[in-house]
Amino acid sequence: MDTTHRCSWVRERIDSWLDGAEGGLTAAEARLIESHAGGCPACAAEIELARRCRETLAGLPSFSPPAHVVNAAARAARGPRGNVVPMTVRRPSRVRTLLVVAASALVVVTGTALWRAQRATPVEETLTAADAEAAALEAALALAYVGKYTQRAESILVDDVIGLRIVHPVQRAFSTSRTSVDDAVVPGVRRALNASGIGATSNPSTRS
Amino acid sequence: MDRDFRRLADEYGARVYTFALYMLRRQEDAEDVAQEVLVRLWQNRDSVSHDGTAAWVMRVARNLVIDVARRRRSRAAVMVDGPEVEMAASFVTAPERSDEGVHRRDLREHLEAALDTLTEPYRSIVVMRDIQGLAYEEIALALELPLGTVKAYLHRARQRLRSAVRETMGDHGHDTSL
Repeated sequence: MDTTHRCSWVRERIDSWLDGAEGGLTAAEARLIESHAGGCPACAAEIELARRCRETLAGLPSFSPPAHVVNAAARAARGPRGNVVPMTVRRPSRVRTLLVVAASALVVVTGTALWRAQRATPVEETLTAADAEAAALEAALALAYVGKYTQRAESILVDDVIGLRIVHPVQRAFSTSRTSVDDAVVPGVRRALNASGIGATSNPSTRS
Repeated sequence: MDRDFRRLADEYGARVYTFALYMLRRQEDAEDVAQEVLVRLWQNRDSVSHDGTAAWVMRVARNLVIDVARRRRSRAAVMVDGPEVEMAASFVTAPERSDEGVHRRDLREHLEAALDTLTEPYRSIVVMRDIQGLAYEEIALALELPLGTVKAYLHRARQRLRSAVRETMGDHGHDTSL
């Protein structure tokens, strides 16, 4: 081991060496550090700095909390919070677990039985003419709503999806090769649309 | 109740307060932490095992210290500088008259400044081990870290402290005359 490596090896172990028996160094390692420090002023200075740092930190005083802090803590501990039963970690016992499972099963069974009984009982409702009229109006509005958006969706499907994204690019491709596709492709698309019930009144090729 | 509470406060109060003071460097915050730990210790006295009380106390103290430091940061307060630090430093700085005493005081001040630059858990470990002299096992329990990890962190923290002292003190850091 050259000097640089020996120095870094020693410096990595200075704290363990200062820890003595707690440091976990072997006797041979401790001797190696001592003999190296004897001939290496830089490592000796580092060991000395480590020792002085430890002594300085260990020499810093301890402090007791001021009396008013202890008195305030005593008052707080005596107060409502102090009377609270300390929370302890409870491991669920087997009996408690079984009881919980049994209670859960009882709730499920009872709930299911009640639900079935309720369904089995015929509900007698008397509908008035006004109720029927209101229901019919709601149904009509719902249908109109659905119809409006169905028509809009159909229009988008025919114009944008089929027309712009399928028929038009194919037409363009064929037109660049100077071949007309109207007779070959468009009727096929139209037939498919008619068969699906969509776009019977619309002609994609003309819209695009 | 009062006598039992005082007994617990006598046994653990100084340990908690000292730790909080060196961690937070502000007397008022350290007092708050000490008071809260003592109240919690009293409230949980039946559920904390006697052997593990010391570690439990330090764990609660450290969590509270971290909370206080976090709140302080959120208020954009400076943890290292300010009048409170001067006040806390005055606790530990006895008047030094001789050259040796001045060197010792310099090193202490540089070490305290270097300690402030350490992050968690390095700082807690140095305070608990090098200032308060707690056993490795106790620190490991308090911080809920493996023993080997505590030793490795302490080793790294001491190296950082020395490096910071060397940087700020220059040649005086390596003065072997003392």
